Amino acid sequence: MQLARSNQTNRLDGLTLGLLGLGVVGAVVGLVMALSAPPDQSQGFVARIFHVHVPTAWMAYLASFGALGYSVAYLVRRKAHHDRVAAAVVEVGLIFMALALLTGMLWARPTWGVYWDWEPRLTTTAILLAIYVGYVVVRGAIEDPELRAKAAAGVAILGAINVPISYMSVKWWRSLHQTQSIDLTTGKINVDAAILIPMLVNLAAFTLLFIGLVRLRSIIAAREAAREEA
Amino acid sequence: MPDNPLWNPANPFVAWTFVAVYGLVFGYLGYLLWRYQRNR
Repeated sequence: MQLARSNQTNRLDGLTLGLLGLGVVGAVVGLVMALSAPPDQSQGFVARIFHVHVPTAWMAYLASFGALGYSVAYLVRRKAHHDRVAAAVVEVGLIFMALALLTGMLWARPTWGVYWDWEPRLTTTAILLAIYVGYVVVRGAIEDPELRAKAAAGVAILGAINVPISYMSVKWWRSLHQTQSIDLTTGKINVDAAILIPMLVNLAAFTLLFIGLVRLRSIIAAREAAREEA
Repeated sequence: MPDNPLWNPANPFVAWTFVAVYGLVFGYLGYLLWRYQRNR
């Protein structure tokens, strides 16, 4: 059982606790700031959904790249730790991906008049979610640990290819969804500072939480693997 | 704009959004901590 063997620590360490603690405090501060942010000129108080919708969507993208990195690392180095972290990243990422879609739907209903539209950004994000649900299904369907890790890595790599397409879809196929609030291709910020700052606080807090949750999930996976091996 | 639901600070879509995000993220954190304790 080469895959279950690992020299990775499986105790809850100070860094993980620190990341989670700071993330929780930051998220609470972000919540207070979001709920006291000024209303948008055209969307009023409904625009407050922006303060959590954008950070959750960014976490979904971060998860895709994290899963890509650890999956490639597994395929190159064949260390069980990399496979476990990739699986943890996908599990945590799925939560944020689902939240990005849910918050988007709750924002779309009062502003677009519908919960869902098969427009490019929503469609590519739904495909992304489907790919990572597929990742979990693949992991659950294959018993052989090495084959499971290789197949899952392939799905994770496939999922990451969709991220730049999803990100750029609002520009390439201009449709219902607005263009990027912070355009990473040009560096242009299209939001007022009073609305931007609470979003950035939430983005920082969710990033800390994301990394902390992935570390905690990986520790649990390492413990379970060690127990199975014993 | 008192009659416009978009300008209602307690708009239910906004309320449900924050409940869902914070409930799910903190709930998942609680679940992982419980699972960690159970495996000790």
